[in-house]
Amino acid sequence: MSMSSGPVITEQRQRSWWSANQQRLTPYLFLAPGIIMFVLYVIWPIFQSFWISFYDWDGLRRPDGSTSARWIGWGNYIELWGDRAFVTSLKNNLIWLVLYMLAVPCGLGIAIFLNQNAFGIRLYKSLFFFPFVISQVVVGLMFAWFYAPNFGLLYNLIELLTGKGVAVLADPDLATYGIIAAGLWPQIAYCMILYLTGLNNIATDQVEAARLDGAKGLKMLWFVILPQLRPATFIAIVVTVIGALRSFDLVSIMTSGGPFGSTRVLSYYMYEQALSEYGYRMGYGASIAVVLFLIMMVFISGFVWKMMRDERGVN
Amino acid sequence: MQLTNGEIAWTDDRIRAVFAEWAKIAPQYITENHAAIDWQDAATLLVQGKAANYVMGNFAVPVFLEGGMTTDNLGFMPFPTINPDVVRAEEAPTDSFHVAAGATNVEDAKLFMAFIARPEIQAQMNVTLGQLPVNAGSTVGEDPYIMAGFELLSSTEGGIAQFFDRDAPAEMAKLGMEGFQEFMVYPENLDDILNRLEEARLRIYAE
Repeated sequence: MSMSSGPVITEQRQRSWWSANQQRLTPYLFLAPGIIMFVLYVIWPIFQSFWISFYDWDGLRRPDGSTSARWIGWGNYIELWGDRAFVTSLKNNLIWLVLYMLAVPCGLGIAIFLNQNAFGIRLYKSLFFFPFVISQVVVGLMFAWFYAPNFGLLYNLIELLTGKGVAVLADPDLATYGIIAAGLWPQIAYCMILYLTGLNNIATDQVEAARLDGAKGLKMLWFVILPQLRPATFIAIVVTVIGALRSFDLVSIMTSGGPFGSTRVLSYYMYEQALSEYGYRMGYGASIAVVLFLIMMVFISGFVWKMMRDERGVN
Repeated sequence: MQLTNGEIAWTDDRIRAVFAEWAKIAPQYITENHAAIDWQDAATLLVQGKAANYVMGNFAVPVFLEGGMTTDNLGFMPFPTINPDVVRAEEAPTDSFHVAAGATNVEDAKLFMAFIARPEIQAQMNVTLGQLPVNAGSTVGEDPYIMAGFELLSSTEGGIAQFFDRDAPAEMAKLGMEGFQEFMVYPENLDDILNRLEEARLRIYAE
């Protein structure tokens, strides 16, 4: 009797523990795969980068498996401080950040312009959205040919108008702006689509009430439309800031950081130092990555803070 | 060689003399906006007759020939001699075979390399590749440009170097080439460029 009743009791106990805690545990179980992935592929590499940035390492191991890394403490960061290429990259990142913001008002302008009922408006909308669908590499190539000396459209146009062509990507003072212009093209399309969806949800009664009160034009835009578009503006700014900071593909395709290193940005310089043909300085690359991460962190924590505040406000 | 080994300062007078020679053609005799032109587009300029000389490897020849150039208007010449006291040396990047440090069968690998370097094997291999054989005893195919190049390299007294970016350590090469590019556009920045490269040399070769 007692021998057979023992296991039955524990099984019942187990089942009752599960059913008692099921409600509490289920969300964590569902979250687990995502959290594990996030920790393994995002959080862990971040700390690994911090760690590697204190070493002088070429990324290789000796045949016996031991690492050839050498601890140099803050050495990489001290070197960064005096590195002209790093300062150039940092400055270019700032220019990117500021000028890339133009995508937000431009996107808004186009979205408002396209938010009307006309014949074939869907076609126009998709045409304006088109650049965002093309890969960044293709955008870069197209603009590189657009600027190219001797046969580029822009070059020939300027030559026709002023008698002397300007090769944007060969001029260290202009090249960064040329690349940003190329980057703005798809980014404006992205902001436009965000605003178009936002404009669909504008409360018509408010617009009509405002119209009765005599609001129109810019006043209408500023006091009635824009406040309702705040969520769209927030997302547009977030994607644009992050897009500006991680600009890599266009720089790589259009100039490879040249002419003489004047268009490098942090992400490209990091790649150059750690992974490219002339690099293999893992520690130095990692320290650039850390700096870039810290800059991003300023913005990301700002965004997260704002989002949490908004959620609390709703509750 | 001494320069790429880090034994000579970039601010040395001999280096300055080289740049002084270079400054005679830069920037006015070099294609404008070259920093934004890749080699294929630059080949177009030669085909169109807008450029007269092109320092390039043999792999560019098919592009010129397809562009309509013939042996009548496309030739090959050695780099002009500037100082006759210096023996002629050439730049010729070479593909090479290596044995890995941890290889298990080193004996046979050496045997293979001895085989592949034999004159007749090199001759055969490079007929297929369309490149120059590395053994001076080899023969070359019918291609007039290959023949001229082979003749030039086989008779070089001063030795054959790889390119600057292969002879110098990667980091020095990168900085050096950026400096050269800047010099070709802004020769007046020479002092700044050389000082920068010298600083880099002191740091890179100290490691």
